[in-house]
Amino acid sequence: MLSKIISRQDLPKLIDALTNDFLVIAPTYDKKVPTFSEVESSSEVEFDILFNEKLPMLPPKKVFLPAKQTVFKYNLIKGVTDSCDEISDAVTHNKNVVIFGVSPCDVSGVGVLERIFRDNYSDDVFLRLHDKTTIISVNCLDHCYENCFCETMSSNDPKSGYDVMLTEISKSKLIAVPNSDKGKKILRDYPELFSQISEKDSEAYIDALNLKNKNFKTEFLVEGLASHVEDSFESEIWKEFTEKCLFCGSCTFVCPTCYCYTVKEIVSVDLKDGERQREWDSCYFPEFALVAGDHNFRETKEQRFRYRYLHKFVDLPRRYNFEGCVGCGRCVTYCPANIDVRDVLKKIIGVM
Amino acid sequence: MRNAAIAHNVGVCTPNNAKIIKITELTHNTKLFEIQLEDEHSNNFFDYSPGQFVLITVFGVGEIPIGLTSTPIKRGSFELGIRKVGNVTNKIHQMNVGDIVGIRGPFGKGFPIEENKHKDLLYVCGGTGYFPIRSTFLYAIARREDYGKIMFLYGDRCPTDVLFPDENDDYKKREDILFHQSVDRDDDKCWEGNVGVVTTLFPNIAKEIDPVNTVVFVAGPAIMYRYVIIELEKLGIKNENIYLSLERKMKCGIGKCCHCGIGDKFACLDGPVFSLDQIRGLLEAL
Repeated sequence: MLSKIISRQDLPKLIDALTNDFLVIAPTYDKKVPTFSEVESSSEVEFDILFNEKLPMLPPKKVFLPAKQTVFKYNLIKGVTDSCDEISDAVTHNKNVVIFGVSPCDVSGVGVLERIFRDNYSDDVFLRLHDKTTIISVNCLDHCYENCFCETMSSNDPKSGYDVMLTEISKSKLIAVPNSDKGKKILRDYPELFSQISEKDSEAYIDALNLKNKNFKTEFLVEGLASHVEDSFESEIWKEFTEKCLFCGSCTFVCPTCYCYTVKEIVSVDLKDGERQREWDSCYFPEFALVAGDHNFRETKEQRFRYRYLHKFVDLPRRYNFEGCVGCGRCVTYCPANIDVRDVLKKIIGVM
Repeated sequence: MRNAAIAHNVGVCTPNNAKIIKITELTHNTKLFEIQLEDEHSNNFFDYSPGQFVLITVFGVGEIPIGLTSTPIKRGSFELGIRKVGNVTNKIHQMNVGDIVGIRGPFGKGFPIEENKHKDLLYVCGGTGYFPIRSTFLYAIARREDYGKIMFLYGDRCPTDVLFPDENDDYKKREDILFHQSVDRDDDKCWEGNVGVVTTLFPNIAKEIDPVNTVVFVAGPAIMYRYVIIELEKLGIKNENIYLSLERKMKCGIGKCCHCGIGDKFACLDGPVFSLDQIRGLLEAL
């Protein structure tokens, strides 16, 4: 069998082994905030974030689509000098990357981004980083906190997008299920940490999945959501939430499926060289649709508030067959105005 | 419809270095730039549909979407008509022949000109809308025998803003093209032709229109679209035969950065040219 067992106490050894061969990104605390960051040894990894079901504030999108990132470098007279490939290889020190401890909803989030950045025109900047990354996911067997609604957005059981899934089958054991060539290679390359599955382990795995199935409940039906949102274009609901919203953009930054970006030109002091930087943007910012001549295609706050929902729940499902939401609840947790995306959607559907 | 045709050996997010080979001053604030990719081999692959756009980078200043102004029949170089309105366009206007810019694209869906052979064509444009329209117009007159009547209505703000006056005079003289031109205002009384917004030109062609067999290509400011649409519907032209080019803020050109979202579409992927049929179902389009 390709699936293997790893004991919980061997997880730090796995991290240490991985740090020899990969650039490892794992959950840590940064000023008490759970966050994904680069680790050099297992001692830096906070396993309680994983097993006490806390979500890092920023989803793993920050690895492939960092808040700020150099796309290419140029000389003002001669034009492009360094392409993105060379730059992104340097960012990861020419190593492949492992992200350890990604929750299933975040795996779904990465899947959403991957599809968007691969389709139509492949975005080489994103994919260069994405394709060299191995994702080791840790399964959720229950709602992680009150803001989680992954079952509603059917994102807690991703079929792809991860390379290894670790599921707790007892207090001391996890089953490691590989889901790609990269994942199978990890289980093969560190044989001393993985053991064969016994019949009892298989049964425990089925029990764990059944428990997961029982624990997760749908909060509301998203079927037909796109047309509900579109039909509510002129609704007063938007006004109600627009009045509360501070337009700070926090929800868009912590969202695993928000990928809007802008580009900026950073020029050296001697005005000889420069680089283009890709930077997170938010459709909640007034400049988002502002063009030269002071014309703004989305002039009012209400238009800006509404557009995010139009894009996530109308455009994306129609274009790619998935919503731009995985139900991780981060936007709810980090909203300073206490706006709950579930309330907005429920009001639109008409169940609240 | 064509997709990005330059061999993007540098990746679609990195511009290809290109050289300005000719600059023609059109008006006090508008210039026509002829551009050639630095990698000569790539020029042969630079193919596009009229109505598509490129993203042009002025290194150190920024990158903007500009509609292609030349016809794809002419290979080896292409033209971009640019009015100075913002940071990037102001800088481009200061550049000289031989200077290097960055080019990504061509991107987007253009006007369906090849798909509408043997139809009558009506072009309606206002201001810088002339630039993308010129691309498809030049295409049609280069293959004149493939199309029925060709009608062209062009309006601009004032006589000094009129683009390509010499070309326009040539078209007016031709018998196989119905070319009509107007200016909104003529404060200095120096304009001999029609004065009034572009819709005042419609009576000139009303009798020539066969509503079933006419395809309309429109480009100009959004306000113009509203009134032009009313005129076209009066003539009995169906929404599915009316194509309009919409403009939005753009950063990536490839459907990733989301700045050009219009309802459930992106101007860069699904447009910039939309049929009026599509626009009718598109929230926040006009």
